[in-house]
Amino acid sequence: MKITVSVTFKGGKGHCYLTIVPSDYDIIKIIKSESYDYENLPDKRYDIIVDGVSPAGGTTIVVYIDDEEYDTLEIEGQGYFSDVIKIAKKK
Amino acid sequence: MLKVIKFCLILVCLFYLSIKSKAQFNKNAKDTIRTAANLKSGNSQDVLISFFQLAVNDITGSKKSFLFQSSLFGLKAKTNPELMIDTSYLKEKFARNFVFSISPALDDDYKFVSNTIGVKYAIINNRDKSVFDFSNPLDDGILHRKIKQKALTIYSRSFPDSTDNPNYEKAVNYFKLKDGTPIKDLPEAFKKILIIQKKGSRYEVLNIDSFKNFYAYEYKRLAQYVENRGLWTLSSNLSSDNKGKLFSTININSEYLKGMLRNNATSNLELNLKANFDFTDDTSTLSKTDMNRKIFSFNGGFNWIIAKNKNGKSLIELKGAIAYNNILSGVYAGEKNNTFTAEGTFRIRITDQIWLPFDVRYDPNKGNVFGFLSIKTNFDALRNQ
Repeated sequence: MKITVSVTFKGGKGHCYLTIVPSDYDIIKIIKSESYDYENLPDKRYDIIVDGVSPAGGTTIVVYIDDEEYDTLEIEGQGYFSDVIKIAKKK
Repeated sequence: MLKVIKFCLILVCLFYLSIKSKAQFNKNAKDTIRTAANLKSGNSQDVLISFFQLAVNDITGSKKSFLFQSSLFGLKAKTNPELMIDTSYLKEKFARNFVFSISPALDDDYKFVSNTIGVKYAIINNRDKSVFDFSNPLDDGILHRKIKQKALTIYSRSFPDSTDNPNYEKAVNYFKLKDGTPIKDLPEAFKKILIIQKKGSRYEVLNIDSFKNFYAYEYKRLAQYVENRGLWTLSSNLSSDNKGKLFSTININSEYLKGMLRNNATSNLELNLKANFDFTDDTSTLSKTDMNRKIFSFNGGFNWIIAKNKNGKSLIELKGAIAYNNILSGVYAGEKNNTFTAEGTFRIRITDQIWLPFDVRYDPNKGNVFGFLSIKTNFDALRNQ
């Protein structure tokens, strides 16, 4: 399975770390609006811990599973955030 | 009485605009919202606004002025919201630091007295949190996240139902900043795993809650650091009066602002220095507009942020300053060319966007005290994006 995490920062510079559990996958640091693909993951449940600093206009994190939109997390306003996106193959 | 009614009407209008904007904003709000603009002090918003400002100065006086200020970026972002995306936003340095303003003044009967247009540019703007890199370059942050990942992965593998286990859910949700699992409900087995994983690392000395909140604290520390950095602006204003002159005053102004107190979440002190050159029409001569009256003024003081709320938002401020005026040329008969005055501004925040500043000026030579009340509202273009 492929999980794509698309991060968009609005109104300034932001950053975000993607930690996928349970796994030994690398920690991904996102420093500008972009997408990251977790490729060839075993087909099971995952949690993605997203944490970082959102700029003043907020941060939007959209998750796609096998290129289909799965979930969206909106972080409003400026400041540190930490949240968990729960992922199963079928919503 | 009429003045009080007018003041109340203005207050109601601005309050309505504020509430309307806030309602729009709250539609999608999920968490505590802390925008860069409303975390700024009222005084610093006057030095350099973030987006838009609407103000009515000297509401109860005989000559009141209206002020509209906009950053060039605020205007551009209204017409092209794509500019708010970080990759475009960071390229708009000039537009973010460039402000234009228009300020018509009216008399008590609301007849036109003068109009002032101005431009301002921030030569140094180190206080801007929106372009500061909060990902500390001295700490790549990977190790902290790797410890979390490893602890959760080991913990999930201890259950036959792996990530479906309710205790695993509690453990992973503990790392949510809002509505996360409270520390008292965190399974003991997971705590032990986490302690083992951080052993030998720089995080070993931190207890579990401090480990979880390490980067939240780090953000607050860096935000305070940015808030204390310097801001230097240059501006120019052109005023025309109602006597048919194109310009009756040309003004060049420079202003510097810097926070003074480190690591103080509840208050702050801002150094505020202003230098000003006015070239005005010498009305004692019969000639047309000559701009022969030249005045230099300097204003130095401190803005004390007396109280902030728990999110770091300034609520009450008191500014004290000494002002020096020197009329370099065009001194009128009976006028002193050097004067010192004491100035003070007490500001109170009514809503996120509305400030009520009350200015007091004292002339020690004449013993006169002047006071005037204004109302200012700072609109945030981000709220409708």
